[in-house]
Amino acid sequence: MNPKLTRRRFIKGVIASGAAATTTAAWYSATGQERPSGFVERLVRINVNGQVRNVDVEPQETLASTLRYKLGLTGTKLGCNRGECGACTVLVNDVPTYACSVLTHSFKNDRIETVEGLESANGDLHPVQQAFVEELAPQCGYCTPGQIMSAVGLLRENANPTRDEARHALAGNICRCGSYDSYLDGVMRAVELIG
Amino acid sequence: MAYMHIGKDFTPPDVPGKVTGRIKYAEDYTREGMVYARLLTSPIPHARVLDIDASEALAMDGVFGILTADDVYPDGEPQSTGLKILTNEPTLVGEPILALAAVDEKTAETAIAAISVTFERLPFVLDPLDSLAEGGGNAYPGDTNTFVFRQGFATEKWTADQVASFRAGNEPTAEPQQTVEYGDLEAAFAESTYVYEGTFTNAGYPHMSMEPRSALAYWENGKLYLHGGSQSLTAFADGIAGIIGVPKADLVFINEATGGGFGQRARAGSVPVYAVPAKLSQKINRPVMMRATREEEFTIGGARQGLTGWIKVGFKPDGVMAACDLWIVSDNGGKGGGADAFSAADCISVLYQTDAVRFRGTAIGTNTAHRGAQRGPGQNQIAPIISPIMDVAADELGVSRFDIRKINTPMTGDVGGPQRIPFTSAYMPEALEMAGNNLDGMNVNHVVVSKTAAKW
Repeated sequence: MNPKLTRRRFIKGVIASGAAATTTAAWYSATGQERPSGFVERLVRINVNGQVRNVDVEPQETLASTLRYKLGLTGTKLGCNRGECGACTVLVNDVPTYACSVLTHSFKNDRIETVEGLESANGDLHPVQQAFVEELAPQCGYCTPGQIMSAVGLLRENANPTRDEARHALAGNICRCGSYDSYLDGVMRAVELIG
Repeated sequence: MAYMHIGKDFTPPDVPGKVTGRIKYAEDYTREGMVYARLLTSPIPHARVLDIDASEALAMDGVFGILTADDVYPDGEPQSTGLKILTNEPTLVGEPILALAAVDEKTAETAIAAISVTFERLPFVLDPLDSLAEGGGNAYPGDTNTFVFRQGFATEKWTADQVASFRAGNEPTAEPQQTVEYGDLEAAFAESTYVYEGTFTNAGYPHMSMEPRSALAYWENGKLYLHGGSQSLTAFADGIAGIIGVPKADLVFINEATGGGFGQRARAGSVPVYAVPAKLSQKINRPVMMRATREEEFTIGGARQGLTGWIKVGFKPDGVMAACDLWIVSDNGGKGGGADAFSAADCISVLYQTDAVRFRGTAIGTNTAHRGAQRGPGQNQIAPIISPIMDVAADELGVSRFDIRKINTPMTGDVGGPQRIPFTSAYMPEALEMAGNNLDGMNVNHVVVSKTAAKW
């Protein structure tokens, strides 16, 4: 055991840093050691769907991998895993973001939302989800969560978009079934539902 | 009779799950103790595997085992068209050679990079006309380039002059593999006042359904549990049981949702790679998740056949399509199969009610992507070919481009194809009228024109 690491010193370090007692950063703080060059925190706290989650994240891990394989939020889909199809779209501080193309470590101080976080606590669908049901927007459904997150991001920025503005907002979400018009119908119906 | 859904508004049961993310596709499942498989695929278009040295990979921490073609075909690989589970004679870049299971994908990929495969390079070909020419490469095993129904692999060659003449835009003079004909072609061309003749080529583009062909498999109490996507549980389950070699009664195929199929998940033969996690799971006795990549979808995901053809179409003075003579060399890719070329001719017969049609076709393999069913096989390839011809004919005959389609379109009671099968309901004229009305204020004569037509 490292002679510098005593239980008292460890606890003092944690209190001083204000960090979770289990983080590697706290360990270095408690022991007074310098972090090695290239050090990246493994256990990180991210805010997903309003909940702070502690996750063991590898340095090169994408947000999509963390959401799907660490947090079980499989509504975020991987269609291409290379930033082309948009199936993995989530909101980061209300901005639609390809979760396959960003690293989880980049979002420790941000608000991440996935399709699972849109329903209200009593189970009511978000207006965009409800509108997509009413317009039977999905076909195979694999791109649907990404389409929904792009639509929600649009409506938070622009509550009354034109159809062309909606088309532009969803342009980064590929649908191989070709349900584009149905998705646009869904966005315009959502505008009505939100009122 | 009372109907549950007809005439009523209802929400299909899968839709709420699709908008909430709750519905599960194959890759959304997990299983305790699950490990991850990755594929080692062929880096060259046609080769024979001479040796596989996986000793270094198998010694790595976190590696559980590999699966090769020798494991899945202990009695030798089937001598037939179509993708195999794994192969020792790849006929296209990206064809799976082996799979490796590890504690995570990163470890699996690191281990695969440590495997040494010795290939014998074989001649390859990317253009069916190159293969048809004497001395050209052959795509298939045993130095063959075509597959004859009920006979097997064969080799077909044209003379250099025949290939050169076809490339120059002339009607092929070689004997076709298949000929289908109805009506009096000569008489129909004699009635024609405008005859178009030309050649065309189109590529066989891939399906690219949004969900890659990922699958999870595990065995419990002698039963195989397989999570995968399909277009039909009933049509698919028996087929995949046969490919894996498990009795139907011992396969539990779980398919809650499918992220697109477009013909490529209709039959199990199009997705034999689902057998990889099943066989690997059986070998290492752990649940195995095999996540296919988008790159792999380009090679084993299937594509339409590319068509290279010569076409001659005759029109009567009023715009009626009297005759169509079609000769197609189809690019059947690295694994063979498919009949898109004939479907293209059938499509012309159906959609334009041609008085006489002759189709001649030859299918040749190339060391390119696996080909297979895709919605509208043949029909979609010929549509961008025939549509500009309709426009040119309309202009030549002084008929509007809108009217020439109405004149030739099928109606209820008409017949189509060489077997002259009657249509019980066909409402294309009404559909065209509706389209014209919805485009009120626009010049329909030009709206209908396909994008490629204007200066074709």
